[in-house]
Amino acid sequence: MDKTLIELKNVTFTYLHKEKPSIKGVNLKLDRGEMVALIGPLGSGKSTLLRLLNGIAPHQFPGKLEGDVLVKGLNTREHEPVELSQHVGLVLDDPRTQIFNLTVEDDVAFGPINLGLPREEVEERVRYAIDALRLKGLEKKHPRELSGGQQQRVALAGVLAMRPDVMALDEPISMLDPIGKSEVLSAIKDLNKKHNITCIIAESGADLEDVVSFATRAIVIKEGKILLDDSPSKVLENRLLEELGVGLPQIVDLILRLDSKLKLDLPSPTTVEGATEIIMELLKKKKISFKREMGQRKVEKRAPKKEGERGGDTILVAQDVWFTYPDGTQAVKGVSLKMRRGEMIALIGQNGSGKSTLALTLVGAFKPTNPEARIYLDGIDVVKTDVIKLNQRINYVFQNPDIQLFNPIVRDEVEFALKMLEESPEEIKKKVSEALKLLGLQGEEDKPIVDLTVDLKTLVAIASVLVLKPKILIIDEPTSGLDRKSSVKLMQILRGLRDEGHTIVIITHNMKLAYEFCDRVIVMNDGRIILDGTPSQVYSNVEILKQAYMKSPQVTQLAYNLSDYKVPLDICTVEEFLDMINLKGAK
Amino acid sequence: MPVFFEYVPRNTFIHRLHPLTKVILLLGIFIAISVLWDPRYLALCMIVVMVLYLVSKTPKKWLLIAVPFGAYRFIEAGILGVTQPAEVFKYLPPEMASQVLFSFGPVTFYFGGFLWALAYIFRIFIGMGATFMFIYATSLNDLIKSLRNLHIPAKISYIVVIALRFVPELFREINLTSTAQSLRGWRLKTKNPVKMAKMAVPIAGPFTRRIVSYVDRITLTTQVRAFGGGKIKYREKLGLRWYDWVVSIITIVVVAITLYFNIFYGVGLI
Repeated sequence: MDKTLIELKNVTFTYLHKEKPSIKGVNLKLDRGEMVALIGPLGSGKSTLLRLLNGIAPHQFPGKLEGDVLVKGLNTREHEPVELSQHVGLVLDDPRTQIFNLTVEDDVAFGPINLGLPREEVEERVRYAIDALRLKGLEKKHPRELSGGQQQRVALAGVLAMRPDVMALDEPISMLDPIGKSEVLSAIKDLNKKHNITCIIAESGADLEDVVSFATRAIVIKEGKILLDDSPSKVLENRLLEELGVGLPQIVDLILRLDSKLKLDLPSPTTVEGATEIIMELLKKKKISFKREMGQRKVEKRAPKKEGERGGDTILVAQDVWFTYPDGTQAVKGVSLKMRRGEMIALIGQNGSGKSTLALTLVGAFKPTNPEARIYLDGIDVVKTDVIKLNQRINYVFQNPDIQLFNPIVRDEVEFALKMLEESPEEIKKKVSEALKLLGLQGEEDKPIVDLTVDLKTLVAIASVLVLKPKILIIDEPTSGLDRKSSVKLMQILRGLRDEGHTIVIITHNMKLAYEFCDRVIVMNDGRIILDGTPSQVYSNVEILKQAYMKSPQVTQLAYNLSDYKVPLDICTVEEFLDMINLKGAK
Repeated sequence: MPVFFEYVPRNTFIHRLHPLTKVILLLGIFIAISVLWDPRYLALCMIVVMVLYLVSKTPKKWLLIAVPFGAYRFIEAGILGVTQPAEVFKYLPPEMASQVLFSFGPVTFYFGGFLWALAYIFRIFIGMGATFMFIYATSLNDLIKSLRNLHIPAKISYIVVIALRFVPELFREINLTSTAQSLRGWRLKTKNPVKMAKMAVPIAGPFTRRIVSYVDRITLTTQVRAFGGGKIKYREKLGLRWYDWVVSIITIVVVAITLYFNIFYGVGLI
C-alpha cells in the first residue's frame, strides 16, 4: 500500500480577484499516520493550503491553481469536493457553525447519508464515530446543550464518519477554553494513534505549545511559502518562529537559552515533562544548580502588596452579586470585588464560569437578580442607573467585533456613540482623533472596515467604545484568533490605556499574556471568584487552577515538577527561571 | 423552562405517538373543522381536542393567544350574520336564521349570525389547540426525518433543519448586538416607521453580515460532508407501534365517515 496520501507538486494558488497568490510553489507529501503541525502567522496561507487538500479550493473558493494536488492519486482539479471528502475531512475553528443538525447523532450521520450509503452502514459509521470521539450518552442532545469542546468533538465525529484518511484541522482549538482544548486535542491524538488517521493541524501561535507536544512533523509557512519542514523539536530550535511573530513555547525558549550558554546541544522539548527531564539531567550532571537565595527572593516577591499600592483609589465596589438567567441558570453566585483606578485586570476562567455575565452586570447591561446586590461606581448606584447613563463611566467591548461594527468606514464607526449623545461636531472630531491616536489607528480613519484585519477590527471596536472615555473598560477576549505578535501589540496598546488612567479588564484564556501585561488576575469558576491576586500569586496555586481546569504557564508547571528542589511556584517567565539558576558549565 | 411555542420532550401519550401519526391526527382535525359548521358537532370536536391537549400537558396559557382571535371573529361573524341573507343557511330555516337576538346601535344580531360566530370561535380554538399540542409534543427533527420516508427531497428537508438549528442562534446574536449598541448609547426610541428603519441599521448591519457569514460557513461545511453528492438511500425506520396504528385508523375512519355524511347528507352544516 502506497503510504503517501497527499502530494502537492509545485502548487501555486491565487484567489479570484486577488493579485498575489496565497500559496506559492509548494511541494509537499503527507504520509499515512503522520501528525503534522502547520505553523504560520495570520494570513500566511495555512487555511488556503488546507482548502487545497480536499478540493474546496478551487471548486468552492474559485481561483487559479497551478501545479497539481493529488489525493490518493486523484487530481483535485478533476474531482469534486464531494468525492474528495471521503479521503480528506476538514474541520474549522468555530464548532457552532459546523453542526447544523438538531441532534448529535443526526449530525454525525449527515455525511454518510449524503454518500448514499444504506441505513445499516450509516448506523454502523455513526456508532464508530461516536465511540471514537467519546460522545456516548450525548447522541440525542441538541448542539446548544453541549460545551465548546463537545461541539468540536461532534464536528470531528461528523468528519470521521466519512472515513477519511486525512483530517485537515484549521485551528480546531483556537475558540475553545482550556478544558475544551484538552478534550479536543486528546480526541485528535486518539484519531491519529488508534485509527491511523493522518492529521494536519493549522496553528497560528496561541496554542503552539499544545499542538507541538504531540506532532510528529512541523511545517512553517509564511506568505504562502514553506520555510521549514522537519521534526517539531528541530523546527522549534530554529528561531524563525519568533521572527515570524508566532512565538516559542516557554520550555523551548528556556532550554534554547540554557543551551546557548552550556553548548551541550540539548534537544528541544515539546512537553513540560520533557523539559523536566532535561533540567533534572543537567542537575544530576551538575551542569546547573539552583541559587540558594532563591527562596528568600521569592518570599519577598510573594508578599502581598498593600491596599492601594497597585493602581489608584477604589473606583468600583461590587457586593454579593448574583445573576440568574430566565431559564434558571445561575451564572454569577455571590461575587464581591473591588477595582482600582489605573489597574489592568485579567478575568479568567472556563467558558460558562460566569465571566461575561459578571462583566455585563458590572456595566449595568444586566441587573443583578438578588435584591441585596450592590454595585457602586464612583459613588453611583449601578443597579439603579440606566445603562445608557453609565456608558461614559464603564463600558464593555464584545469578543467578536462583527457583533457591533456596522458602519462602512472606520471614522463613522468611532463617531457613532458620540452622535448618539448628540455632541457637537467639534467635540466629536476632537474625541475621535484622541481615541484613534491612543489605539494607533491614525491613518486608518477612512478605510473600509471590511478590508481590515481581525486585530485592526478589534481595535476599531475598542475605539468605538473608548471614545466615550469610560473610566473602566472591559474587553472580552481581545486576542482571540490573533497570533502572538498581533496579541502582544494589542496588549501593549491596552497597557497604554491603563497608563492613561483607565481601568482595563480583559476577559481571556491566555494565561501567558495575562501574566505579561496585567497587574491582577481574577479566576472564576462556577459563578464564583476562586482566586484574586497578582499573576504570580494566582499562578502559584497550581492545584486550585487545575481544579478550575486552568493551566499555569509552562515555566510554572516546570517549577511545580521541580518542587523537590525547593523551586518556588510563583515563577511565570523564562527570565525568572533563568534568574534562579547557576550555570556551572557555561562556555 | 419551555420557551413559548417550542417542543418540550415529555413522556405523555401524545408525545409517544409517532410524528406521522400526529400529522394524520392534525390533518384529520383540520379536515373535520373545515367541513363542519354546526356548533354541536364542533363542540364535540372541541371536547376531543381539549382532552388530547390536557393529556399532552401543553401549557394552558398558550391557548390565551386564541382569545383575541376568537373575540375578533365573534364580532366579525356576528356582523356578517347581520348582512347575510337568510338564504345562505342551507339547513337552518330562514325564520330561525333571521330571528333577532338583540340590537346594538345600528348593528343587529341575528340567530344565524350567532351560530356562525360560535362555529368560527370553535374552529379557532380547535385549530389553535391542535396546532399548539402538535408543536409541544412533536420534535420537528423527528418529524422531518419521518417525512423523508415520504420521499421529500433531502435539500428541502435540510433547509428546514438548518433554519430550525440556526434561527434561535441568530436571535441570540440580535440580542448581543442590541446590548453592544445600547452600550454605545443606541436605543430604538421612535414610533415613526421611517425613522425606525433608519435607527435599526446598527442592529441590521451586523445581523446581515452574520447571516452571510453563517451561510458561507454552512455551505463550506456541508460541501466537505458530501451534501448534494449522491442519491440518498437512507430511510428512517417507520417504527409505528400498535397504538399509532389504532390512532391513525380511528382518525382516518372518523374523518371518512364525517366527509361521507357531510357531502351526501349535509350533516354538520347549517
